Amino acid sequence: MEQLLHILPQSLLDGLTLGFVYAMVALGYTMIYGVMELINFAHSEVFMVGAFAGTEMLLFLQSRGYLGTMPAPVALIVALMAGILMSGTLGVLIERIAYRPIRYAPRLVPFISAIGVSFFLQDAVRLIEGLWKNAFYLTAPSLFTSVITITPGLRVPAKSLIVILAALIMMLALNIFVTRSKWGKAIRAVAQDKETASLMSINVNSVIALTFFVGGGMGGAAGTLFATQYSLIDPYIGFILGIKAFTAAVLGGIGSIPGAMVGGLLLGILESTGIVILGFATHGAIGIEYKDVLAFVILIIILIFKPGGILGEEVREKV
Amino acid sequence: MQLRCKSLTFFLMAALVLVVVGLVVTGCAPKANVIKVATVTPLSGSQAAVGESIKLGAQIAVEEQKDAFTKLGFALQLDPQDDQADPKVGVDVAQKLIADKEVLGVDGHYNSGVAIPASEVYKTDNLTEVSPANTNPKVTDRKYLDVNRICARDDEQGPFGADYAFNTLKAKNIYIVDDKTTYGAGVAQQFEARAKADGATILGHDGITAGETDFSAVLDKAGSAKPDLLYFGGMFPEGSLLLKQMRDKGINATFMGADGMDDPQMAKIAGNDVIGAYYTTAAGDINSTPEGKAWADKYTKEFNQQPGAYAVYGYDSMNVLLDGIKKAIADNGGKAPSRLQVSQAVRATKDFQGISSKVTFDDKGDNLYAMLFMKEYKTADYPPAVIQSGTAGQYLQK
Amino acid sequence: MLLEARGVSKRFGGLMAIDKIDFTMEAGQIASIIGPNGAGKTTFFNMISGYYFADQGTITLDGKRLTGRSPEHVAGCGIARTFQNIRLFPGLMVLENVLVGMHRHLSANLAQIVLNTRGMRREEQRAYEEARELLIYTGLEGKEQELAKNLSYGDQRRLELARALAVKPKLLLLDEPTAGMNPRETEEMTTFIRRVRDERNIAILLIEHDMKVVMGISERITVLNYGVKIAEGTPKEIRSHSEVIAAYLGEETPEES
Repeated sequence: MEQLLHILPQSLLDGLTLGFVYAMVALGYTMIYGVMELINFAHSEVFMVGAFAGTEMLLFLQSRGYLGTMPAPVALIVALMAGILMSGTLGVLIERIAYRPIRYAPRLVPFISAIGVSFFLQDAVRLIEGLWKNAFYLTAPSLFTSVITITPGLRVPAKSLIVILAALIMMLALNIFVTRSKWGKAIRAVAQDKETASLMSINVNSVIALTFFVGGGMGGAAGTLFATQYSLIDPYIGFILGIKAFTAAVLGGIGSIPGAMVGGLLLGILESTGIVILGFATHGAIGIEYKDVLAFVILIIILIFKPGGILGEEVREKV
Repeated sequence: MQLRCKSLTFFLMAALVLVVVGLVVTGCAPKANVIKVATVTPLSGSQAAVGESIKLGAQIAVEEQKDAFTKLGFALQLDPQDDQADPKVGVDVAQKLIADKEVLGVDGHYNSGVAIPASEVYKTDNLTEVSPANTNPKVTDRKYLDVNRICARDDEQGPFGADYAFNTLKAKNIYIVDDKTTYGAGVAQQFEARAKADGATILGHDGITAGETDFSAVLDKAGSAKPDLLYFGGMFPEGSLLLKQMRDKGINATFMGADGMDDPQMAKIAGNDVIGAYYTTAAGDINSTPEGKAWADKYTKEFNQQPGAYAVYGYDSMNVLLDGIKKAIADNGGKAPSRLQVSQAVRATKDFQGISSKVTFDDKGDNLYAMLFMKEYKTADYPPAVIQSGTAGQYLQK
Repeated sequence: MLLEARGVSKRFGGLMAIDKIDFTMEAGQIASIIGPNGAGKTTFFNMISGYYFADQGTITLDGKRLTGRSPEHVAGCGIARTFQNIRLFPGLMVLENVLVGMHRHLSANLAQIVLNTRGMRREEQRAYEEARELLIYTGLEGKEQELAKNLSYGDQRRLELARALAVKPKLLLLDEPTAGMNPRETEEMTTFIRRVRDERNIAILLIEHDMKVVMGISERITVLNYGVKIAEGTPKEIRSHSEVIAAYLGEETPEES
């Protein structure tokens, strides 16, 4: 018991850090679902490309010697910009090339298209990095190395705090954008009723493209933060993280922006803190390897009682 | 009109007959003068680099032996295949190779988890397999005539590591993590058994998922148990992140892994945290012998890159295979041997001098001369220094 | 001439929904389209607002061609509409519904949003005030922060009107604005429609079943039956039109309702 209390604060911090990354990626799934009723399974690769763009930017700054002279937060912002722009643009391109031509096709068709885009992006990145760097694993330079030791049991690495801080700022900015700005309102209007929105002289195609840009950009920012937090990236990092983030989106209520944030944080905490508690409660019978099982059991329980997710609307078929 | 239809039918029938005859002729009666040997390694996906280096090692062997085979009246060809490190793909490739009667031997696979199901396919036609890198015990414990390996086994690697940890590093309290794969869990289990037998306390044994990047949950738990040493059964992408995150969390336990850590990326990912980390490997330092150094130079010159740790094993495996085929040809009076004859000849390999080690197969297909090495990163540079080596055979559990 | 339709036709499979209709409206006029169910009234609305493309014929607004244009383009030219079955953005607040209607009159671009410029904030403030005015105008004061789906039926109708007015149209298409209302509410709506025209000089075209409303406020009435225009004129002329009476026989006669 004492040991558990000892781990708990550290474990919560780890869960939060992971949860914020999940939440940011989940936002992309949920925004695009909200507007298109389409699960953009290529989003995990948009995240991955963002991680590569951000890391390449940091490596570029490093190779030119700027990294040592500029303050770390500035370097992070430059890298985030690269990740956001690259992923946002990629999101728009994916929509234009892989989804728009089949927008009125049966639902399974864009799904297949998304899988194709995923494979294409994984191998494209592998090919490009392979030719360019002769290795498709990239190691991001460390930006924030200091560790704040609060108690011997609770060590707060600065980079975790940066991830949490940056994610909070980005999500806050997204929230203001969506609720206050003209285009944010247009996105929500299109999500609710495309035809009526077009009567308000809203160009539905532009709004969809914008949604893909914003959703993709959040994914790219998450990718860059992910790279600074975990250092190692490869073209396949999107797969597991994408599944987790999608789960978070469903958990929170797909289509709901606050839902994605709540779902991401909850999943992150369940995976790290929940499983540690469960391990102690069962005297080690349930080990860490069951953390995904725990997360999905809780997902299923929540969906049984609240099929729309925690903050989602009750599922209603549109007539 | 009527006439045209008839002549079209006739034409189609004739074409069909030709195709069928062609298939029968080429399928059943191979041109006696071609012998193919295959490499089956991951050439795409995340393990492509190591798979490629094994293939290139084997390619050197084939090129060296081409003339010898030409003198015997055979055209030797290399048939490189990609198993994508995926058991399903591995089985598909195995079936393809079985169907191609010119293929007389396989140099592969890289992953034990792929080799085991694939060898069930090879067995159906006694297609012999010499593995450069499969360390899982089950690969040879099934005692298939056609399955051999020149590297050491996990149940030798685990105990080798455990003995070193307990006796030399004096680690009494040990925490174990594995990646739940056949390989990772296998090594970790063997390590745990030996460490317990030696007298160490196992504080916990947890699993992670390959492909994940955040190991804070398992590390929070492991850290609170305050181990002297953390043993990891798995591959380098997870292993190096585990090491790095462990140090970030201020856990100072010694890190030890198995040959899944044997990759230049390890030091790049973990940076200076890699200093003081240990791993056991079946692949020695190729530059430690003059023959090895000469071979590495040749490889570097040929392909303009450093050989990976298992490249020379790909080379040695292929040579063992080709040596067996040559013997089988001689035994068969200079004619093309059957796959069974090749399997028997390869299994009979005795005191074959390879670059990495001597090769003598026991009745299971394990190499009695396989070597094991303990390496420690003294600096953050790859490859780390060998600090202890031993013949793996002494750890064979009878 | 504000709106001008020339020889407009629309066919759905074998059905001629709209058959070579000519139709014109002056600026600031109130006009109605009536006809039995299935006469093609809503189809005609949908063609004007750009949902359906005309198979034949042309529609122009202020001499600008609308045929073949997308709904958002048509809306941009100055046509707004409401629906027979109300179509609000149910999950948005009342105020936000109106602000979405102002979309084309707000100029903020992405860069301004990101930078949150003073210009943008000022414009936001102006839009907000304008939207509040519209809500007061339509009698929805004090309900700005409610979700549209939580409004009463009558308020939802009013909100739909407020949102349509936010588009600042030259022509407003109302599809059965008094459907489902009691006589008092109907009376209010009729007054309101006239007020909108008088105070804002917006031309209004209605589809309406309630003959009292139609006869009371329309300056011109067009009667459709089976996609064909069978009559056109002042309320007085329509009331006595023999073909109109025939078309309505067995359904409802204008005088009765």
